[in-house]
Amino acid sequence: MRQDINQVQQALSKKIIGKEHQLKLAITCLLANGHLLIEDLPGMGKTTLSHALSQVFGLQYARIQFTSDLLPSDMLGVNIFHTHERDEEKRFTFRHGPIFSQVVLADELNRASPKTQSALLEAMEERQVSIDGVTHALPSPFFVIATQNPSYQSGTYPLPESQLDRFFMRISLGYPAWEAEKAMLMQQDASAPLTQILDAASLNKMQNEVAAIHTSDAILHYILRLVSESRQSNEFPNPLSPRASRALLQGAKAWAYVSGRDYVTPEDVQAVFVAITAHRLTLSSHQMSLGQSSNAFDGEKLSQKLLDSIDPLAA
Amino acid sequence: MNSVLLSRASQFTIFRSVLGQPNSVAVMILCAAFSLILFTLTAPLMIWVLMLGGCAVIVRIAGLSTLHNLPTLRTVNLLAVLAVFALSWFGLSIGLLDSMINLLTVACALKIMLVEKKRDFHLLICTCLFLIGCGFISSLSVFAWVGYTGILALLLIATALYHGAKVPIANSVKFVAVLIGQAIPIALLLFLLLPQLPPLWQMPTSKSTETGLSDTVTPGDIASLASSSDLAFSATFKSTDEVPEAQNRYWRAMTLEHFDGKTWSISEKRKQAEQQLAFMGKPAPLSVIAEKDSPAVTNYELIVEPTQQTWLFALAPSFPNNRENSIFVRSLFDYTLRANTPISSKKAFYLSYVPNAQITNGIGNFETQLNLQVSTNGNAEARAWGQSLANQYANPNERVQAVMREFRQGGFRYTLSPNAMPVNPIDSFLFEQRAGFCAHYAGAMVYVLRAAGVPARMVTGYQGGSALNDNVLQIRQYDAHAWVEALIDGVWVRFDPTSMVAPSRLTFGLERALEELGESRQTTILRDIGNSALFATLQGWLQQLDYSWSKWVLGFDNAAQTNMLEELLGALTPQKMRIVFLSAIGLIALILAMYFLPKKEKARLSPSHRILLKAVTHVETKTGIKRKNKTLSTYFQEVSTLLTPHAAKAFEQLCKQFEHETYGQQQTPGNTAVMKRQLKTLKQAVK
Repeated sequence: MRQDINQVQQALSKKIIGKEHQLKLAITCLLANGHLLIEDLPGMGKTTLSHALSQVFGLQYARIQFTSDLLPSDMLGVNIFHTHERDEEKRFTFRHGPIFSQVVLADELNRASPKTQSALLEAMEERQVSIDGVTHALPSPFFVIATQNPSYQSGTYPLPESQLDRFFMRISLGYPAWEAEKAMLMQQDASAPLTQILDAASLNKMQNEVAAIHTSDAILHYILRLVSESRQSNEFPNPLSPRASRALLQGAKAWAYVSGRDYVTPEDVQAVFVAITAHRLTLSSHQMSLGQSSNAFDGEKLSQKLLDSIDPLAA
Repeated sequence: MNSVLLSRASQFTIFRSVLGQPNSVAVMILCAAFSLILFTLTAPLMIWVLMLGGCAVIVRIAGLSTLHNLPTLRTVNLLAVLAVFALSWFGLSIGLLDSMINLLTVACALKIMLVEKKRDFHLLICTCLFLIGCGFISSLSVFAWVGYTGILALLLIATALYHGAKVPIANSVKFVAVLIGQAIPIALLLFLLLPQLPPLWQMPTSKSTETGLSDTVTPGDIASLASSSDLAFSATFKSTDEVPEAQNRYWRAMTLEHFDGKTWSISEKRKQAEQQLAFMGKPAPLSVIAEKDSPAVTNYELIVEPTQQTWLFALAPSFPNNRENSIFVRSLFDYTLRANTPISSKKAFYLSYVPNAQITNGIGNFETQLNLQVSTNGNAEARAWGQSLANQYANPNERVQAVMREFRQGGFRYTLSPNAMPVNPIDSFLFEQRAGFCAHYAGAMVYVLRAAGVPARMVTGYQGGSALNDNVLQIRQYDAHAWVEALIDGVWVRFDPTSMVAPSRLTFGLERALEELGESRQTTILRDIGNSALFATLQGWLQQLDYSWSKWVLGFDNAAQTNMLEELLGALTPQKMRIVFLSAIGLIALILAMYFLPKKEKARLSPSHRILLKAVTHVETKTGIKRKNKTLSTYFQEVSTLLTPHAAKAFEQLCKQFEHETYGQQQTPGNTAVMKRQLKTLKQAVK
C-alpha cells in the first residue's frame, strides 16, 4: 500500500473505526474520479465519513439535506436582482448554490422529488451547471457522496436504475463490531477536526497516475467476460451497461494504485466488483411484481454470484 | 403531477419489461407450437380436450401482458379434477391409446397456464416432444414429418430463447439452425447403418380410427366408402409390363360366406376351421404352390395405409415372397392374406402374384357345403328363381351365365344411391328396384346361385386403381368393390356382375362409370377444382412425393439395408461390417470435430499460462482443494498451509511469475524457462 494513501486511511479510521475495507473503497472511488453512494440506516457515520474525507484531502465541503420540497434552484443556485445599488449597477448576479463545492454530501437523496434528484445527477455527469442559459463549471475535483435511506423506509422516492448507474460505487458501512464501537465510545475528542494530509493538486496528480496504470488484455477480457455473462445469463434482471464496464476498469486501476502496484490483477477487479456492480444489477422495487425471485433484489448476492461464475484464469 | 409522472413511468417500465422479457417470447412460441400440435392431433383428441387446449393457449397469451390475471393454482386443480372425471368417463369408449394421448394433452394444457419456473418450462417442452411422438403413431407421411420437424424447431427455439435470456432472437434461431444442421447428418448415418429394430411393444388398437372395408357388408356400406378419396394402399411393380390390365386388378381382401338375410359376413365356421387347420400345422394351399413349382410370378410391393385391421389387399392368388415377410403375413385357406398384427401405421409388404394359378377349393367338401347354405329368412322369390335355374340348366356354368345375362338384359341400373330396401332386400332389388351398387349385385347373385345349387361366395376388396406413374398404382377408398366367386369343377371362378351393368367401372374406374350414368361422387365445386390442370399437377406432385417417402424411408427395412450395403461393398463379412460401423462413427466424430475444433483453436493458451494450469492441477491433486473460479492469490492463501514450505514457495513463485508475465507491463524474456524449472521443483515437492 502506498505510504500517503496509508496515512489517509489511518487518519480516516480515527473517525470511522473498524471499517478499513469501506474506507479503502471510498478512497478508491475518489481516486477513480467517481461519485459515491452510501446506503445505510441513519446514524451509521455517513456524514462523518464524507466530512472526514474532505478534511484529509483539504477539500472544500458542502452538505445538502434533501427533502421532498427541495427545489433544483435551492441546490444549484439562483440569479438575484440587485435593487439597492445605484441604477447603472442594477443587474442580476448569480448566487452559487451549495453544489459549487469540491466535496458535496447529498444527504438522504431519495427523499427528494425526482426533479431535484435528476438535477443533481445531471450536474454529477456533466460536471457543470447551466442556469438561464449561462454555463457554470463546477470546481475540480468534484466528488459527490450521496446517502440513501433503505427504500423500504417511508417517505422515499426510489432512484431509478438509470440514475443508480451514474454512481460509480455503492458502499454500506453497517454496524461496527463490538471492539470498534467500544473504542469509538472511549474516544475523548470525537468532534476534533482531522489534520490535512494532501491537497487538491496532489489529488489531481494521483487521479492522473491512476489513469496511467497498465491493464493487460487478460484483464480487459476478464471484465468483458463478466459483463457479457450478466447480459447472456437469465439470472440477472438488469445486465451491466458499458458504463459499468468502464467503471470496473477504472475502479480496478484505482485499487491497484492504492495497493501500490503499477498494473492491474484480477484481484483488483474482484476487490471493487461488488461495490461497483451490486447497485446496477438489482431490480428496483416497482419491478417486484413481475414474479422475480426475491434474491433478484439482493444486489450483493447477485454480484457475488456473477463474480463466482467466471474464471479469472480462463484465456 | 409528480405522482402522475411516476405512475406513467412505472407503467411504461412494466410494459417494456414484459415485451422485452425473452421468457415471455419463449412462452409465446411454446404456446404456438402447442396449438400446432393440437391441430395435428385432431383425430385422436376429443373435442372438449381440443377446446381446453385452445382456451389454455389463449388464457396464457392474454396473461402475458397482465401477469396477475392468470388462473390460480386452485382453479387449475379444479379443472384437472374435472378433466380426470371426463377422461375416465370417455376413456372406455375411445380405447387405451387415445385416452392416454388425451390425458397427455390435458396435462399439457393445464400446465401451460401455470408455467412460471424453469422446471415447468422444461416439463412442457418434454411433454410436447412426447405428443409429437404420439402424432407419428397415426401418420408417417412426409407431410407429417415436415410439419413435426417444423414444430420441433419451434420448441428448440423456445428453449434457446428461454435460456439465452438477452441474446437477440435471430441469434437463438441461428443457434438452433446450427444444432439441427449438426443433427441431420448424424441422423442420416444412423438411419442408414443402424440395424432396424422391430417395435419394442405392441400398440394398443384404437377403436375410433378403423378405416376402409369392414368385415360385414350390408349392401350400401361400400357405397358410403365411395365418397372417400383417401388413399387405401399403393402397389409398386418391377416394371410397366408387369402391371396388370385395368379389368384384372382385383385386390382381394376377404371372402364373405355367411348371409343372415340382410348382412354378409365372414363365416364363423370358416374361422374355426382355419384355426383348427393352423393348429394341426397344415400349410395353406398357396404356400404349397409357392414351394412346389416355382411358378411364373409377378413380385410387387404393397404400402398399406393404417387401417387398424389385419387384412391385406392382394391380387389373387398371391403369397408373401420371402421368409422374413411370411413372419408378418399369414395366407389363409381361402387365398386371402392376413397381417399378424393390426396395421396401425403405414407399412410395406412384399408379395408375389401368380397369374396362372387357380384358386382351388381350399378345405374341400367343407367349403362346398358352407357356400351352398341359403338363408330361408325371406327373399322367397329369389330362391324360387334359383331353383328354376337349377331345373333349366344342368351345367353350373350355364346357370351362372343365365344370371349374368339377366343382369345385362333385365333393365338393371348401376347407381350409387339406390332406394333403401329394408325388407326382403334381394327380392326387392331383383324384382322391383333393379338399381344398386356393386354389393347389391354381388349379394343377389351369390344368393341366387346358392339357391340354384352352385356354391358361391361374396368377395370384397378393391378393384382398379389409378397409375401414379409407370409402375405404381394407387388404390383409393372409392375403388372399394364386391364381386362373386362360384365353385365350378373344384375351382373358384371370379364373376363380376357389375361388369354387366356398368362395364366402364372396371376399365376406367368409378368416376367414369358414374359420369356415364349422370351421377357424381363429389359435389360440383370440388369437382371443378379437381379438374383444373394446376390442381391436378399439384396433387400429382404431392402424391408422388408421399409415395417416394413411403417407399424409400418407411420401406427401408433390414432387407433394404442389407441390399444397400451389399450393393456398395459386395458380400457382407463381419469384418466389412465392423469397418463400416467404425467408419460411420469416425464420420460422425469428424462432422462434430469440424464444428468444434475452430473454437478450440481460439482458446489457445500462452506457454506460461499452460505451465501455471499444470502447476494448479498438481496442487489440486495434492491438497484436494479445487481452485474453481478463485483468483491465484486467494487460492494460494487457501492451500499454502497444506503444502510443504518448499512446495508452497515454488507455487508462490510460479504465481508471481505468471502474474508479472500476464498482467504486468514489461515482458521478461526467459520467463517461460524459469517457470518450467519451478514447475519441476513443485512437482518433486508435492510427490
